Amino acid sequence: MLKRPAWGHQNWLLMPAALIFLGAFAAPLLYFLVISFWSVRARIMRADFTLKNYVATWSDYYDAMGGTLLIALAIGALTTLLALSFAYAIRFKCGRFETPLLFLALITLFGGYLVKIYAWKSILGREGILNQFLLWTGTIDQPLDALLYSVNAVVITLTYFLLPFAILPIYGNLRAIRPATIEAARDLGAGRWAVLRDIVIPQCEKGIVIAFTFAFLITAGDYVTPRFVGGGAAMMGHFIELQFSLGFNWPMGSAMAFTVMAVSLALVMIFRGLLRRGLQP
Amino acid sequence: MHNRKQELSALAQLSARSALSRRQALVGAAALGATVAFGARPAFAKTTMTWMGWQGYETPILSGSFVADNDIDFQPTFISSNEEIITKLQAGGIGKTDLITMYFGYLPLMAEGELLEPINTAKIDQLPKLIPQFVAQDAIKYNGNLMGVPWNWGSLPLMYDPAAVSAPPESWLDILKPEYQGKVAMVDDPLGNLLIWGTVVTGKPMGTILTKEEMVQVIDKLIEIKTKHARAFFASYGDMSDAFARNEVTVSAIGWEAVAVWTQAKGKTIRYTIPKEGTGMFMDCLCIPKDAPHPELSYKMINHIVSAEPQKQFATEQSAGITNLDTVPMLPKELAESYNYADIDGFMKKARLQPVPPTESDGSVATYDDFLNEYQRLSKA
Repeated sequence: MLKRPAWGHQNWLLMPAALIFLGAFAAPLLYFLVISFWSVRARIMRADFTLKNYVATWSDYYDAMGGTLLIALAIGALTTLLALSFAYAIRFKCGRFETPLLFLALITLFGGYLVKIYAWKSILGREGILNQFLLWTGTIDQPLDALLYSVNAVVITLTYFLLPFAILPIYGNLRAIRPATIEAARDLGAGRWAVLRDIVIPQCEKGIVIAFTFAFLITAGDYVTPRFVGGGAAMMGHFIELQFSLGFNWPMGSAMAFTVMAVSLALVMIFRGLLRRGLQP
Repeated sequence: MHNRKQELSALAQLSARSALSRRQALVGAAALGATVAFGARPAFAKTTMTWMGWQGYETPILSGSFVADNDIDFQPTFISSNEEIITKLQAGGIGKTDLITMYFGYLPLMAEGELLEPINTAKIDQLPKLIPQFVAQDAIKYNGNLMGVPWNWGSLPLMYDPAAVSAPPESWLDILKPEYQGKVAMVDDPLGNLLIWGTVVTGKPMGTILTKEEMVQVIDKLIEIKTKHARAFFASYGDMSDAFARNEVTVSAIGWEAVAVWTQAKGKTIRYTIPKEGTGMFMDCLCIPKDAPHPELSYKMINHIVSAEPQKQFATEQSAGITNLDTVPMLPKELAESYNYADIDGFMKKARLQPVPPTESDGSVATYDDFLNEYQRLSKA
């Protein structure tokens, strides 16, 4: 029987990382959790214990929260689907182009977040590249206004931004699947859908969950993209920001943030459970 | 109603902050002593001064040799809204920020939130030269203390694209005409929208002092503009400028003279006008945040910014209004006339300085919190 190693000096090497984690992540989070039960009077936080911030979050912001989570679900699903398709294609269908195509997808990470937003503004605008192309081909006779400053623009911009983050974990899982396994399944009579459902997806389940979680959570917390390309499509992050700035109400902002966090985590867990159940033979 | 308990609690918080400052000062003094003793601090080390404000507002600081003469390592942080400064100060900026430039209307709120130091007027030698109508504003005082030094101003005019709009709109309501549908620019500037549309909707000269019912009517009108007429509810004035430059919009429901300068830099000419209902006016003040690390240098910097030559440079580069009367004769004629320095009182009748809604009310007037709650309806629409 293996003896469990005693707390050795090598474990102390983890202490700096643990301290950074506790100080830079856990402690601020705990602080915001504590103040979410406080109140504000005369612009100054008071150390009370009240649930009114959480009650107000549900009563005043249920519509904004619902809209935000719907957009996040749509972007999470779209990004995961595109990432799975792309990762599958470069892993099994593109032969020697596998590495260059993966590099091409990842190189978009080098562009800054705001640069991507402004790039999409110039693509989707009334006089943007896309409208010009559609006019040139005769597909439309008037520029489409709905491309920019709309929820469509938020979905397009965030999906583009999140795609590399979603491709990586799925591709990492797909690397573990040997092409011979798929060929064997096909030789035994399995159709394409059966191969995908019974071999590919079960083996990259973790990658799919991670990809969806990334895309969903980043979208649920984002407020910059909707402000720049959404044309007023305010998401929950905008209202949280408002409480922290103009509202001078950090307790309310914290309660709103923790509510969104809790609901988002619940939805991710539901997605994970549904995926697992769907993959059971 | 006066609440003694609240006051004591506020004082306790203030005391705690002051104690922290004293501790920091002691640590700082010890560190300074040690470095002097061991000679570790090089003789040429500069003082890092942290400043927050709009891009372009740093122009007067960098003019002349002020930064070099005072061995300053100038560290600007550019903002996209005034509210960003409030957030940054609340999120750890206190004790680390030397100077900010802030819209005057927020000064009472910030003073109440213990984010600002009162200005020691004896240390502002330029104060007697500043436009008296601005310095006399009650809104920049708190408990009898001056909380900010007025240094630039302007109005919120209606912006329009002369290539698409033949004559300047005469009324703000002209932007609701069918020909502008889907081509109206709005900006997510909570107070700015109220300054203009509070007056347009209610006819009251002070569009920020409204009853709750009037506040609802104003927000309803803004929601109508946003949902039926606007191309977008832009995040910032910079975004509005981009939209004018890309021909996305032709008229605006809010404006700022600087937008015309920025848009011109992108190769597009737009103009502005003050419609018959008048408009809001803004005045930005230089404020010293609570526990500013280098208060003496902050005062020196304020004096430099509001002195004649840096004010001239700022006014000409940004097409902005300035406050030092000694600067006015130095300005190009067209610029001086556009701000009507000869008749400030007359200009202030068309473009009015208005306070933010009151923090407390007996119910007859909508409070600042009432306004924020209503404004969130506009954000959601």
